[in-house]
Amino acid sequence: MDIIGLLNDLTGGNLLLWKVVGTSIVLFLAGVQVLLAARFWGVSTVPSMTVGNAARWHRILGRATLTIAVVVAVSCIAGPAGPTSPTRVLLHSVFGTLVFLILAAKFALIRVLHSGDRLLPWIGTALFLVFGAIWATSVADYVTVR
Amino acid sequence: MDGRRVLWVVIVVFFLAMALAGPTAMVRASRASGGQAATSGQYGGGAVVQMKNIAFAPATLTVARGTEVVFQNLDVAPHTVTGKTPGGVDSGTLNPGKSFRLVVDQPLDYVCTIHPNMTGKILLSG
Repeated sequence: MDIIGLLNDLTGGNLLLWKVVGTSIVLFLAGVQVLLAARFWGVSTVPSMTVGNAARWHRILGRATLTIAVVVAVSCIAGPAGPTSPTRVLLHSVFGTLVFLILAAKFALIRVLHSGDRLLPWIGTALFLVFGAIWATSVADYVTVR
Repeated sequence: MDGRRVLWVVIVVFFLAMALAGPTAMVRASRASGGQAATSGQYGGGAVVQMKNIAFAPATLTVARGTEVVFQNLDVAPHTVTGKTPGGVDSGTLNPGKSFRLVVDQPLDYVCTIHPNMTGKILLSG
């Protein structure tokens, strides 16, 4: 099945625009995730909610963020993935690979091995930065071309 | 190993597969572009329209009737070559690296249905 054709049909012929919106939402939510994590790790009082609520929302938004990220990533991998030129595209692919390696490491640590809690702030920060890099090497270019 | 942990192992493996998919696509595209380069000289007698940076180049092409035009997707996004006249020319989805050949026997106004701002025109000379 032609996944790109299917997704393009589902988005009314606006697949690229939906990817731009999806990538932007993922970056925004990744920022919110960092704030929520800082709250329940006790290093920030923002946002003003209980530690328990911050942790619960971190899980809920995390799953939503990953779902959107995976859908956007699949639409990239099934369609345009492959070119290594220009440099922007190469970097975009590298950051895309990196984000899934970090996610695999994170869930392997906390859900399978049940260890490495001390690394979580670093992993979360790295995820936010890499999502930012993915946005900069895709959406920023899309907006510039327009 | 309990069921929940197995589920997380599956998720971790899925993320690793997603991480590998990008480099795999790069290697495949690299091999494919090597093959295309070998046949590109065969287009010498025809005309070429390239899809790059979400645009057709040239946007307007003038050719003699019966000329074969090759549309090459050199972009990082999938495109289509679709006539604005209903029921007319339609390449279907052209993923990056793919081409579409069309023998032109009448003027053509076309659009990429994935990116509606991306339009082109073929005129007949003489």
